[in-house]
Amino acid sequence: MYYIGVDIGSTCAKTTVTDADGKIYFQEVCPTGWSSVDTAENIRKQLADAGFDPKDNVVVATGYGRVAIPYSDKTVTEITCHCAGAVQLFGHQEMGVIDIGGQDTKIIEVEHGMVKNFIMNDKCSAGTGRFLEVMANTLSVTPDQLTVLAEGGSDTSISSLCTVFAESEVISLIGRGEKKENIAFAVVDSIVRKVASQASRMHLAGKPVCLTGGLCDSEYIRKALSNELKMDVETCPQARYAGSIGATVFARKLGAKKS
Amino acid sequence: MAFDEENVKYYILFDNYTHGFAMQALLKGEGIKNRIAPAPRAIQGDLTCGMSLLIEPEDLPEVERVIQEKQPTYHAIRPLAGQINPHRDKYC
Amino acid sequence: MSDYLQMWKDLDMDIETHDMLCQVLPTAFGDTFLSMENRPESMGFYDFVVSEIHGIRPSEMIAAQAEGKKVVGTFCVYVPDEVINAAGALFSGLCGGSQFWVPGGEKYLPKNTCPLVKASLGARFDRTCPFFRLVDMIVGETTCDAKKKAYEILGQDVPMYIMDMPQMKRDIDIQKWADEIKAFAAKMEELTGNTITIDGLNDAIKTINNKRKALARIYDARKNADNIPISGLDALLIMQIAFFDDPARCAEMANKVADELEQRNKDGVSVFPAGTKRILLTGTPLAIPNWKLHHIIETSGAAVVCEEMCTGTRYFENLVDEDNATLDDAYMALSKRYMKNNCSCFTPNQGRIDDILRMAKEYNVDGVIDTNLKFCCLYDTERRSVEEAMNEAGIPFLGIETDYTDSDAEQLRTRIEAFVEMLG
Repeated sequence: MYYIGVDIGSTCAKTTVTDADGKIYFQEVCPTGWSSVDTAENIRKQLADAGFDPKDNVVVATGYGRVAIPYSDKTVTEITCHCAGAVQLFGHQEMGVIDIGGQDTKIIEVEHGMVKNFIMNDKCSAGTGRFLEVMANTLSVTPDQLTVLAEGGSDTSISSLCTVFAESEVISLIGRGEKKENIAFAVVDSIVRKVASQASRMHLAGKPVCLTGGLCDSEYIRKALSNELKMDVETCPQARYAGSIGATVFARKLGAKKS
Repeated sequence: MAFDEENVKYYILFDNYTHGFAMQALLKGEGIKNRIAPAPRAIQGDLTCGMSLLIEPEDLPEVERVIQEKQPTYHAIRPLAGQINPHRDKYC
Repeated sequence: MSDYLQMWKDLDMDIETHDMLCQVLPTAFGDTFLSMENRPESMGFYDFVVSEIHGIRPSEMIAAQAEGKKVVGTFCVYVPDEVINAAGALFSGLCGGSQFWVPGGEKYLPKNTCPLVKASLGARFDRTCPFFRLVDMIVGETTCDAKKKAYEILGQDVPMYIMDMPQMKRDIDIQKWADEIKAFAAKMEELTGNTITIDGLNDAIKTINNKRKALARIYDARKNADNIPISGLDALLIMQIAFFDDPARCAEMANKVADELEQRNKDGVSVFPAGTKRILLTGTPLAIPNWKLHHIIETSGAAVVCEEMCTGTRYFENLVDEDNATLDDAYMALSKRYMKNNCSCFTPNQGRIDDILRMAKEYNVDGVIDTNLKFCCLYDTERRSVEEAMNEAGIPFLGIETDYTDSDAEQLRTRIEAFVEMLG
């Protein structure tokens, strides 16, 4: 028996498969595309081809597309899953988890390894991966390239938090002939400030803070976030799978209950 | 619009609510399950009476038998699929 | 009789646009209410009222007007229904709870106005709500800035009377509100041509108190820690309809529901599985037909067991002294009761925090969800104090800001489900 966590986010779908001890056998990320239903079906095929057919194993679904996965045995929200995944990955029972996702950013206060409190950004993409994507597009670079560019920039800022208005600001900056590096710096700075301002509403003082989600690969974002929060933010390459890893935790619990 | 064949309900429509309440009392007396529901616009036609009685498909033959027997006044009985969906998230 | 089309035409309503509202309401009601199982049988009355929402009660009001009676529209739980009743007039709550009316309101108001105020103006100016069309006068009150300014605009189209609400709760404020009630009584006498007598006012106080007692019985039944005899959504509907129903009938119907709920508690008949998390919902009012939040909460593994809202406890808690010797005594008795309400337009407003803490205990709740309508800066700002008090008391807390649109339903689901998961 294997334990499968599927996290269909707004941008990417992440899958993790473990055995009963939590040892990871399979991990995959793919773009969500426009249809969660199709994505869910593609993941099912991938899993079946790799020898982890959902129908023979326990599946827990999470993320925005969690309801679109017909073969899941249970759904758990991404907030609870990111918490469980971060506990696995970082080993802290008390911590703050910052998940910068495609369409929303969550700050989770973890106590005794469980969610104590959380906040999510409102109906607005400021401080999310989507914001980064839109701005990268405007600058004709990929989001990864943007974070690399940002490292070489300084002294420029975007004042508007609204993605639509901020995009106009970026266009004005381009029009003014501002260096690409400086605009990239301003974009990352805007995200980091927004995330830090949300985090300041939670009780994270003195606790480790861990970054999960799609931006965990960027060392520059980790550093910028650490500077803004005045604490050392931890992350690891696996952290983009935190949601699906957390989902396997619940799959194992469910499996234990079943058998 | 998705046609959900498994979710068909029947609605008894009326010209006015007095007829509706009379029918409800009659069905209740016969022990037939029914609920007051706002008449779905899709089957309401030109009626302005908003009251209808919602009937489960398995109760339809019984309702028809009682109507045959007691001849209460009503406008029509209409089936409608997919009208009740708690996960539609369309509010008004 | 149910030929409402002529009535709507006589009210100069926009029949075509109104018909669009008539199309969406039955579906929304089906998805939310009729999808629930095992509802109290006595909810049949309220289902019926919704099915004839723009027909039956307006036609009663118009019939009363034909007999020479006046109908007064109100927007706030601080406006004393007793005075309207004692003057022989009918009252109707008017707050708009549908996105359908919001664009109409945005023609007159800044976009960053709360949806309740926008919808209320839209309902009047778009001519798509019979209640808004048939009233002889509207009573406003100076609770929040958005309403104060909106009343000026509304006043260009319909006779308005404004009561000047105190914003603090000192003795001079209670005296001030008693004076305002007295002035309102004079206005009602002028409008109706009737004289308000002390016996008439004492009777009206009894009538409205009876309605409060009946609604309180329903809420008392919801306090049962082991059984949830009625969904929050059904209880909310009862409250929403209470705002425009005849007060004596409201009491009679609410008492029927309460009888059934008390029996259900004895028999252990619950509308939710054992272990369902109990939620106290606090914050801004949920005017009819705003059913979104209750529905999302109650399809996410939790149940709403109390509303600390105008469409909830603020409507019925505290009674008015019934045996007053003089009219001035009665106005003071009314003021004392109404000034016990804790709206966030008051400063300071510790009373509301105390209410929430008390209700969390009384209703045996697992968590508090505080909701505020977008752009309501009063409740939004007060949230910080509420959250701090909940943290201190160890009561799990979730804050939500939303409006009447469907677009955030998915996000709300995620947040609320995560909150319910957090409750364990």
